[in-house]
Amino acid sequence: MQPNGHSLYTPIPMHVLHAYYESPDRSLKTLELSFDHAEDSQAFFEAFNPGQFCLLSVPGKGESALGVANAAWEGDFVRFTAQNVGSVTAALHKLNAGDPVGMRGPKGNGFPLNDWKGKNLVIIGGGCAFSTLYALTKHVHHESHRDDYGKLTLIYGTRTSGLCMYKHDIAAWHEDEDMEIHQAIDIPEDNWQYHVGYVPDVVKQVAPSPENAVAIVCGPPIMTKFTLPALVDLGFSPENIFTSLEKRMKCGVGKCGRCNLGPQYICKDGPVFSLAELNALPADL
Amino acid sequence: MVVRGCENRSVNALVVEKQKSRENLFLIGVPCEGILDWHKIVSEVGEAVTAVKEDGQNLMVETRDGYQLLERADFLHDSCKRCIHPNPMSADILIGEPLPEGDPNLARTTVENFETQTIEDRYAWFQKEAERCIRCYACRQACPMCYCEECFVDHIEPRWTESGATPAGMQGWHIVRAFHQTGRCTSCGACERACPMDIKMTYLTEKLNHDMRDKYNFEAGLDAQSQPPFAAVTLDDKNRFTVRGE
Amino acid sequence: MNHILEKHTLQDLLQSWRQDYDVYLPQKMENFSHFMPLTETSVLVDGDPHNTRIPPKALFLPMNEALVKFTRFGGYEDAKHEIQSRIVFGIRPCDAQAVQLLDTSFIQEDNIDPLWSERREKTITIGLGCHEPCQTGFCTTVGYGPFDRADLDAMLTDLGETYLVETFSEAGEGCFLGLPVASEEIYNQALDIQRSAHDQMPVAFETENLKGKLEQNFKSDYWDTVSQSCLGCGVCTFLCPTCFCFDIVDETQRRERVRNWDSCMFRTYSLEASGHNPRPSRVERTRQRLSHKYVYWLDQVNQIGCTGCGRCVRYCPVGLDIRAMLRQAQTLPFEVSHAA
Ligand code: SF4
Ligand code: SF4
Ligand code: SF4
Ligand code: SF4
Ligand code: SF4
Ligand code: FES
Repeated sequence: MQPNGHSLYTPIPMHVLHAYYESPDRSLKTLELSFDHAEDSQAFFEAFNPGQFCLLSVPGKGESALGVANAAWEGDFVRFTAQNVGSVTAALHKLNAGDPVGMRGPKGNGFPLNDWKGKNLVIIGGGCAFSTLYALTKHVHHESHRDDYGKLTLIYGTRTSGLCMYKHDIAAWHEDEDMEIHQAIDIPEDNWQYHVGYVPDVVKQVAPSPENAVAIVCGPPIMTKFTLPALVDLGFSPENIFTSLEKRMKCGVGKCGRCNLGPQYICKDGPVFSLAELNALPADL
Repeated sequence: MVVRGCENRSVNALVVEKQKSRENLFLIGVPCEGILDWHKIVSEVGEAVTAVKEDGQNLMVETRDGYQLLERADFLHDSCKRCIHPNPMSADILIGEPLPEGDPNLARTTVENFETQTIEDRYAWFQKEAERCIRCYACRQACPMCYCEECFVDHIEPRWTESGATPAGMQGWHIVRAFHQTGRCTSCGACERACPMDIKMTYLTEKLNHDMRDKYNFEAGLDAQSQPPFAAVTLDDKNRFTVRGE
Repeated sequence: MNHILEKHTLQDLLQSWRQDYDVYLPQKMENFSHFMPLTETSVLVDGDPHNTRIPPKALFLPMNEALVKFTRFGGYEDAKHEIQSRIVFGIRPCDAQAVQLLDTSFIQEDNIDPLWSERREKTITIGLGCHEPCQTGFCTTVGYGPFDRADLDAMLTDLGETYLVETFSEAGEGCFLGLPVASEEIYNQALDIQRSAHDQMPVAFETENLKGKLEQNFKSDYWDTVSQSCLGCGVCTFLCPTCFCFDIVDETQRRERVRNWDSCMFRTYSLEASGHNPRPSRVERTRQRLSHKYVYWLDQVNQIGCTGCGRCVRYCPVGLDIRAMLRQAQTLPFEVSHAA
């Protein structure tokens, strides 16, 4: 049962507030959704924590799990960025401002923000999995939370500069004294003034200090695979390295069995796990 | 590979469809006396069976309370009972003496008996069999000729049939599965043997096999060259369905 | 309370329940037994195999059911299901255990599957204990037994001409009101039968350290060996009373989002949109199935997730036998130090 009295499989009604492409190749589209009912909005924000995801629904196509890409203080809407990879995301890409869309969420555990208070945060993202890290950065960087955390370091890599999401904020963060930001692209481009190379290598180069720090890694599986050991080499303990896992999902509520990783369900017990937790789980990814 | 008659035919059919390369296979052929159906044994003897021993034409069934002697031929799978070609036809070596060919009339009469029923009776039978299905796909997984990387039932766009164990979904699955076997089914009976719901689905494929024999003089897998009639296109085809208006 | 039920009065009793309930009991369908609604002419099938071919989980989690209805203009509403009050009669103890195990997944605090839980609430379950061992079952090996109560409302013990009826809840007692109370002597006679049934069940494999062995040998070629002949069909999971995985699919024509039983033995189960498959072959899939039952369930609720019903053994088309697989697992290397 959801707070609105509906079954946990029934999406809540939303409408598209804004829809825009993130990248010139139109492979990434951001949707900002508003709630049709105020009580759904209230229930959402009471439960919401950066790092969580929702299931966006298109009738006849199905549902797709997408990370929430906004912080609560931004206003009464929910933001997602969808990469056009399957039939559901293709349908989501067709949506424009004013269109109805269904949503279930927020789902999953989200980042353990309380445990991170007083620590330096090293936020490492790659590709479109950066969306939840964007939500995290927006949350932490906001004046009402900023004092709770130490130094803020952001490492963000994309294949090309065009595929960099949320360009407006990223550009502003480059100017921001309060934050250390390292941006990277995989392939060299003219007029590119930041790193060129894969994220794990950039992490080694930047070599963030493990002193009183936690590192949060979200990216494509291959990036995560090589970044986690790089952080261990830098001296981060497995308890202080976090990542968000992806697996095929259906129900999003720990019932359908689909996303299991050993005894855990990624949709319900995850998607955020520390490396220490992951090490104790079977290598079934 | 050690092959019986039906398996040799399946290998041939797979070679025709370019799924296997005959040069890479060494076939050891064994003339086949048919596979026993444990359901039949258990329904005769009861659950207390502890062991079954073959002794020539007889079966020694050991139960918790003693022994029972059965005639082997009575307890074969239906597909084995009506098997026409028990001998491997293109094995590299053959072990054992070839057996006499089976009686083609058995398969023929099974189909014909079904055909003489009224349309309502046939539909009722179809419904009864199809709608017992749980869509576990054991029949597909066991079938030597089902090798599609993505089966039509798993295809999402477009979706060819309802996905679940609903009447429409189950009927769609049974009809299309059979159709996909036209001229390809080698009558091995693996589907029927695998089915956990005891669905006798070869009444559909045997009808198609019957039509193939009757109308096209074709049996799948008899050699490793002949294309199934529905897969072979020739310029003098009677139905030039590729040309508009004819 | 304990009652005595004369077998020849069973039919009348069953029929009397029909006034207030939908009554389900195992009846003959083709060559096997199946839980079907009671009619005037229904006959209980209670021989061997004890179990219905399709496990009673299907009464609570149907193979196919609508979850969500699409409304006009892109909206959604809960799919409506008329769920009647029911009595399910003749559940075997292993299957009753399985339903109780599944409750731990479907009915969690704050996270309740509405359809499963409503069906559970509206169903009275009456078990039929097994006075003789079944052929492929191994309930006692995995810590259950042929007269386990699980959370049955009542259970019957076959005493020949009569049944002993033990009731465990008010609802269960309500079904047998007015039946004579069983004497101490009869009750003791039934207890003897129950104990002897328990003792007659064979020990199929040892469970000591089994979890640890499976866990520690996650990468072993043991999995390769035991999955060699697996076809990757859904038989062992669809017929398993404790398997609950389901797929969610949109049926455009019916304007519904439905769930269908699914199986971790299917290739498509874990296949991701990117093409990556964490369990690319039967080896990983078999490992998942066995580990789920003999490792992960234990981690989650400290019970083995296999109730030993024997269905997968009996109906696997290639004769893969979980008992033999686990006997073989017992020969795997094991380090005690890891276990702590
Ligand atoms: S094996 Fe039987 S139950 Fe399974 S899908 Fe085939 S016909 Fe249906
Ligand atoms: S496994 Fe045990 S409880 Fe289940 S049917 Fe067999 S004897 Fe009965
Ligand atoms: S029933 Fe047998 S063949 Fe089918 S998936 Fe299970 S173990 Fe494999
Ligand atoms: S794993 Fe096999 S024996 Fe165990 S409960 Fe499932 S079907 Fe029954
Ligand atoms: S993961 Fe496999 S073994 Fe576990 S419940 Fe699902 S289908 Fe059954
Ligand atoms: S998506 Fe269904 S259990 Fe996680």
